[in-house]
Amino acid sequence: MSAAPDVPKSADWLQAGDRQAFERFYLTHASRLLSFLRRSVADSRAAEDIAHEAFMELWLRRNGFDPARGSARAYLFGIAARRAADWWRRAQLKTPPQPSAAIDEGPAVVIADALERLAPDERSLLWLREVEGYSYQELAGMLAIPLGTVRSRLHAARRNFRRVWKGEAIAEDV
Amino acid sequence: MNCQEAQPFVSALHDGETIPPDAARHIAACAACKARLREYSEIGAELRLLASAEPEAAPAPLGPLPDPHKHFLGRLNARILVPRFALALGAIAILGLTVGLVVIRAQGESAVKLAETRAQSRTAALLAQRHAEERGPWFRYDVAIPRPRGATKVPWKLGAMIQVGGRAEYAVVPFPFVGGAGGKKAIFEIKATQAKGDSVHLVVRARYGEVVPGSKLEKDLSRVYFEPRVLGAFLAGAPTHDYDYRPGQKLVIPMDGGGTATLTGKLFAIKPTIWGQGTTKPGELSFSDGALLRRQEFQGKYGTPGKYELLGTVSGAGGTSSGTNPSFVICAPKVGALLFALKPIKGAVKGVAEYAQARFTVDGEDYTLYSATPITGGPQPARIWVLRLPRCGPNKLTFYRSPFYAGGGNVPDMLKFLRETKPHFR
Repeated sequence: MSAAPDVPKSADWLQAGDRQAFERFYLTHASRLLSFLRRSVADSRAAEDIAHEAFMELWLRRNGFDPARGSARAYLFGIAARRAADWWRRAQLKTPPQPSAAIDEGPAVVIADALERLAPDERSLLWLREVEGYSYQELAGMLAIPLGTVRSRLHAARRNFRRVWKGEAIAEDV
Repeated sequence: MNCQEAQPFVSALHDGETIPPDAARHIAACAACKARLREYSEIGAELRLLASAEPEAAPAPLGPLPDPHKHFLGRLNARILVPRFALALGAIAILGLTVGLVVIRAQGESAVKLAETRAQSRTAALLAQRHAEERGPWFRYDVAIPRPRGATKVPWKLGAMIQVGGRAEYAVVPFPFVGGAGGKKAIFEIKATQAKGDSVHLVVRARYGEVVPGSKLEKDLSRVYFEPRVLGAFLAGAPTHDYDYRPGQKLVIPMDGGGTATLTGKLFAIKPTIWGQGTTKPGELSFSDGALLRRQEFQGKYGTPGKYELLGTVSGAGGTSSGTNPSFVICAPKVGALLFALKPIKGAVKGVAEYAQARFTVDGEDYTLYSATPITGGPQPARIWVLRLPRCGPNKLTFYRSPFYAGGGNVPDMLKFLRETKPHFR
């Protein structure tokens, strides 16, 4: 993923603690991050909190960022995804809330509904892959999971998503 | 290869990944797999449409960017209502970041896991403060006496620690909270005079006898206030024994008044704070040196003052409970006895333990217990049960103003122990 035009492509600014560059980075990526988190945690207030926390963590722990392992944006989304996972754990929701059937409310609702029915980690991963366009390698680094896990989780996410989308019940696959 | 085997590769193919030749051959020849591939493309497009259709709101102002160091202090100050604690943690923040890290690393693999939790930073800071204040070496010991017939299993041993070269310390078995102030007690005066290599020279006096009801000793024990002079009077006439103790040995100590006690221990270069094994195995419950917080209000926004009430630090004690139904008890002023267990107990609430912290809600109030050791073993987070018993500790005394670890063991034993120690627990 490329950085926004007004944010230097090199992440030296982050490690150097350039506040102005960081604010530009924030303005460039905050909306997309929030959009991801709203889908990921299905609670807009929590999404805002997590987005803010992710930016702050990026700023405060900027020395932990290694440009050789990916972009600052990927690092940010990785932080946010992990915090979203923590949020689910804290919420003690092993499975996401089952939204009400909304088949007649238009295709966008059906898609959103199918997304909400996925397990939180599958939902985040599918969104990061399909919407944000991260590669398997980047996803593995961001989420600190093996490459094979990225592949299998994406497969599971698509399989489950498709079932809801097609009106089938989600069942455990053998 | 059949369709089911090929499905994961359909997903990977959709993502532009290379797939094995036999999977590629199957997909190329299979109408169903090709249809699935098209569906995955559609799903991707639908998701991107969904994202694009959302109005892109202008982000809220970021606000001032904190300096990492200032931010850390400010956050501690903001979250903790008790100024003394906030100041103490603030003062040791720098120390916690340096010494605390070394301390935690020294405590082994489990401590490394603690770094995954926010509890680590709090606990490490507390540990670092104490380590800075209290130089080693230290001798951590367990002293046990035979359990009288019919007595509860819990109290007939005591773990404590003494500073080598420091003053003599006293141990009372069974501990008054556990066995009441009266009755038969074993009282030990233990001094570690010198450490040589991995051995330590101990000077021990021990006496097993009846604590006379109404005596000064009985009064002191009932207040859990050990007046050395009074304990010394109980030990008057008891012979002094000298030992060069090597860790791993089981020392048999004759007690004046009859019987023997056993002592085992270990030398530490710095003051030990891990009372359990350092790692918590599946099926075990562990607690060591931590803090109990009650959350009064949590707004969640980063930088917004969340409000916690620190009920106190729990220091100097802990242990690991195993067995069929392990548990431990934390007593806290204004809260009562909190019994933590791995299995459901009648009247208990569900909680979650994750590494070194446990969260639970009792009577509408959220609590977090921090520990220096992982509270549960095995997969994290883990389900725990917490039973609150409203009264805990002496009624009329203010000696214990902070929460304390009151022991561990199997749930039936602990419940019996809580019932038997009226009026301290009920």
